[in-house]
Amino acid sequence: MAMRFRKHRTIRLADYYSHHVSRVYAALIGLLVLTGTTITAVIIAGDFVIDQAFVMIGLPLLLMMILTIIITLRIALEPLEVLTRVITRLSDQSNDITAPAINNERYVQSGLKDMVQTIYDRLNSPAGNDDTVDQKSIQHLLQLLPCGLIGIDQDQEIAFANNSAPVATDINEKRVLQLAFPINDTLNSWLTEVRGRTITETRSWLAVPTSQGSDAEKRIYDVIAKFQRATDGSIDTILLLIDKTNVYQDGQETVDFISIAAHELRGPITVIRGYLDVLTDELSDTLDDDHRDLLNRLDTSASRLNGYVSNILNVAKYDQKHLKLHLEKDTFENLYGIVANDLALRASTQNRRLTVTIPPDLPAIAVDQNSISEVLLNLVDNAIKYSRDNGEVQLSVSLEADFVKCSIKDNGIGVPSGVAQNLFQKFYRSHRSRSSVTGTGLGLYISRAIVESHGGQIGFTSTEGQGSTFYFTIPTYSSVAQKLSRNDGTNSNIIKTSSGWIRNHSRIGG
Amino acid sequence: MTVKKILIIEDDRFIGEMYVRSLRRVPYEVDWVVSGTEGLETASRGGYNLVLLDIMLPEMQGQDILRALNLMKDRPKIIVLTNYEQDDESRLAMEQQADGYLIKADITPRKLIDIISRM
Repeated sequence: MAMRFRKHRTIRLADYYSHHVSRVYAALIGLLVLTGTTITAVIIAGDFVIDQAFVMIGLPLLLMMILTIIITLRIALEPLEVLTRVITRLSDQSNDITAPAINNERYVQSGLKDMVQTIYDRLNSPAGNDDTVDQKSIQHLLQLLPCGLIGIDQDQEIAFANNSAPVATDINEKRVLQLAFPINDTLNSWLTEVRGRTITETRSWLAVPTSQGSDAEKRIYDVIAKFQRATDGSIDTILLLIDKTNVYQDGQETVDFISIAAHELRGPITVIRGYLDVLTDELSDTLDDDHRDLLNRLDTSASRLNGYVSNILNVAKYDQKHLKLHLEKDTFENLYGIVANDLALRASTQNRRLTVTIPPDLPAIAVDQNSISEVLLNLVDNAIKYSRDNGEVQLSVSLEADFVKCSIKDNGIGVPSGVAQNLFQKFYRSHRSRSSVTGTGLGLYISRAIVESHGGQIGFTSTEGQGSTFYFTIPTYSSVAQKLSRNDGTNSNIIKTSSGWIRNHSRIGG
Repeated sequence: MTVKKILIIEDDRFIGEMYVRSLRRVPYEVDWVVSGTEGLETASRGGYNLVLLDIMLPEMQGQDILRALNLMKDRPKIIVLTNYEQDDESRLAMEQQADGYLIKADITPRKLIDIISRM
C-alpha cells in the first residue's frame, strides 16, 4: 500500500508518518518561538515597563495563551497522528511503528477508538478488504466452474459448495453431499482414516453416481479429494467433482448389453454342462470308455464356451473400468483345485498330458479366486490348443521374492518373433492361429489385465517350433497385507503396471 | 449344521429340474418353487437348512428375498446361484448377506453337491 503525491512521487508510509510527526512538533516549536519573539520585540520596541500589573495579569495570560495553543494543536493533531500510525502499521511495508493503544480512556471518550476499530474491522472483513473486487471475482468464478467444488471442514460438514456440486439441504438445514460412494469405500471412511494417519493425502474415486433422483436424472462423477490437515476448525478437504455422465453411460450401456447377453448365453451353457454332468453320473455304470469320451468332449466344449463368455464380459467390464477385484488370502494349491478337474478334462479330451507341480510349502497369496481361475483356464487352454497331439503341458509353481510364479510350458508351435509384441493386444490373433486354432483373441488381453490388477506380471518365452512358456506372478499375501487392510480387501494401491484403470482403484509407481 | 432339506427358488424349468434330480440322488429332501413370492412364503414356513436362490425371478427379485430371509428367526443357509452379472457393488452386497455366491454356468451339479456337503 503506498500513497501518491504530486508529480506521482511515491513515498513509504513510515516515512510519511515520521515526516508528519516532525511537522507537528516543528509547528508547535515554531509557534512558541514566534510568540516569544513577538513579546520580546514588543518589550524592546515599546520600552515596555515590566510593572507589577504586567507580572500579575499579563504574564499569566500570555502563558495561558501559549498553553492553550499547545493543547489545541495537540487535540487537533493527535487523531491525525494516531490514524496515520494505524494505516502505516497495517500497510504491507516493513516498519517499526508501534500500534496506538486504542483502549486509552481519552480515545474511547473522544470516539477515536471507534474510528480506529472501524479501520481494523473493515480490513478484516471480505467486504471491506481492498481485495473486495478480487474476492467477488473468485466467488463468481467458482460458481461458474464447469465442475463441482466442495469444501469440507474438520467436523465433516460442507462449508462451501458451488452451483455444480451435487449438494442438497436436508430438513435440518444441513448441506448434504448426494453421492453414492461404494459401500465399503466411502468418502467419510477415507476422511476418518486419513485424519488419524497423515497430514496430507490425495485420492480419487471413479464413476461415483448421485444418490438421489430417477435414473434419467442420475449423474456420474469422477471425484478427486485433497486432504490437508488444519488445526483451526477451517476447511481441511477439497473435493473436485467432474461430471462424466455421458462417458460412463455409454460405457454402462455397453456393459449392460454384454451382461444381459452373458446372462442369456450362460443359461443354455448351464443346462448343457449340468445335464452332461447328470448323464455322466447316472450312466456311470453303463457307459463304455468311448461314450464317456464323447460326453467329456461335449463338456470340455461347453466349458470352453463358458470361458469365452466370461472373457467377453470381463473385457467389457475392464475396458469400461468396471472390473473390480476382491483379493483374499488363499493358497495356490487351493486355487488350482477349483479348476483342476476342468483342466484335466480339457487336456485328456485333446490328447495332451498335463503335469502339475505345486510345492506344498508356498506362502499364501493375495488373490481374487474367480478372476485368477480365468487366467489359469486361458493359459492352460492356450498351451493345449497350440501344442502338438500327444504333447505335454507342464504347470509348475515357484516362489520368487515376494511373488508366487506360475509357469505353463508346452512343446507346441511356439510364438513367431514377429508377433510377440502384439500377443497381449485385444482381439489379436496371428495369421497362423487364425487359420488353425479357434479363439477370440481376448484370453491373453484379459489375463494380463487381471494379473496386473493383482499387482503381478505376465509374460512368456518362446522358441518357434519348439514351444512356449507363459508365466504370471501374484504377490504373496504377507507382502501386500498391510495395503489390503487399508482398502477393505480391494486391490487399491497394489497395482503396479496395469495398462488400464480399475474402477475405484489407483496406481502406484513401480 | 448338516444340510438335509433344501429349497430351490429358480424360474428356469430345465435348471430347476436338473438341481432337483441331482440333489435328490444324494439324497437330500428338495422342494422347488419358480417365483419370488412363492419362494419367500415357502421358506417362511421353516424347516429348510439351505435355500438355493436365483436373482432374476418373477414377482420378487432375489435381492429382496435375500433381505427377508436374513430377517428370519431360524435363518437357513443361503447360496445365491445366478447367471446374472451384477455390478460389483450389488454383487458384494449380496455376497456379504449370503453364505455363498456362485455363477451357475461355472458350477456343475456334482460341484454344487460337493460344496453343499462341506457346509
